[in-house]
Amino acid sequence: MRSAILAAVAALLAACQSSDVSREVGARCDRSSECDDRCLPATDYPGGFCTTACATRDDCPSGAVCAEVDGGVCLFSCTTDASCGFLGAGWRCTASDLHGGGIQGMVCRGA
Amino acid sequence: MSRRLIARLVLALAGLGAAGAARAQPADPLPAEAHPTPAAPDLTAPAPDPSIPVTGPAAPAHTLGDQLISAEAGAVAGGRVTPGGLRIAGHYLYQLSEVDWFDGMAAFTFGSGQGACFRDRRDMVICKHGATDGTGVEIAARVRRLLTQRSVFQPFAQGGVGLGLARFSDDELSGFTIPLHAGGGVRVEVAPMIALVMEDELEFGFGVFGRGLGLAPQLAFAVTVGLEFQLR
Repeated sequence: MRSAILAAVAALLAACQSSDVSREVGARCDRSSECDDRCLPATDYPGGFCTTACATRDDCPSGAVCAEVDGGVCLFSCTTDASCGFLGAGWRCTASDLHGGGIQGMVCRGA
Repeated sequence: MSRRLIARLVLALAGLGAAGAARAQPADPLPAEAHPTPAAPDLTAPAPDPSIPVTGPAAPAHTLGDQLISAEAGAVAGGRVTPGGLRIAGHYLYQLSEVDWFDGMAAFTFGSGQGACFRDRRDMVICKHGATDGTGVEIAARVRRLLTQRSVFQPFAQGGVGLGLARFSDDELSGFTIPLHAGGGVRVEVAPMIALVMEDELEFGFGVFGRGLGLAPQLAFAVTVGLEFQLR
């Protein structure tokens, strides 16, 4: 009985948990159907990376920028490698061209 | 079962006897010897005292058959991994006692198939479906308690437990659900054997889902309207 209650509480907590990532940007994926738009491959983005096409930074959710990748996709911006740690192992903070602006920014990408 | 039938027969006979007695004794507080002879009406009898309230015959009890069926339609608000959307339900009701009815329900929920599950970076599945996503089918056993019987409007409370299947097609996510039901409503007699039924209900419980999601809570609110037909 006690274990059943604990399991129920755990399930409730799991259901209420928040996440820094979403189907729009950041979720793990193997194929695009797991994402709102597209799945960047695990070969370059460890674990796979859900993202959406963008033209400007405004098209991306908070914390992401529009990088010059595949015609413009949203990637998380960063300042250090540690700030990409929430994405898992194999991610680094690297300089990347930003889409449309002709400037560079720091984004999380596969090492 | 036979014992129960006998008990019901006894109750029915008792009811008939009481009704017969009531018919045989119209409301009249006067003793038999106080009745004036019909052949010689007493024209000098005093006028009725207006200060004494005059009560008419008792309102007839609204008799229901002991079996009802109903069809209802409405909406369910779900969310996360609880299906929501259009609700179509069929009911079979069987009278258990003076105020309690067994209510067997089969319900179908039709929502959108839009995907809303994803894997976070720790590879845990998270689903954030909207209130009208998913499809579901459920059978439930409930008990309805009429809060009043002798009225055209009959409010009731109800509760029960169900067993269901939930499906979110774009996420390829399916699961078994066990929701508890608690709610109420009102039935309104619109014809001798037909009643309009409106009910709202909170459905809460747990489901077991695939894709590594495992045990997940279920929570929904349903509002339905339908017609109830007396079988006999």
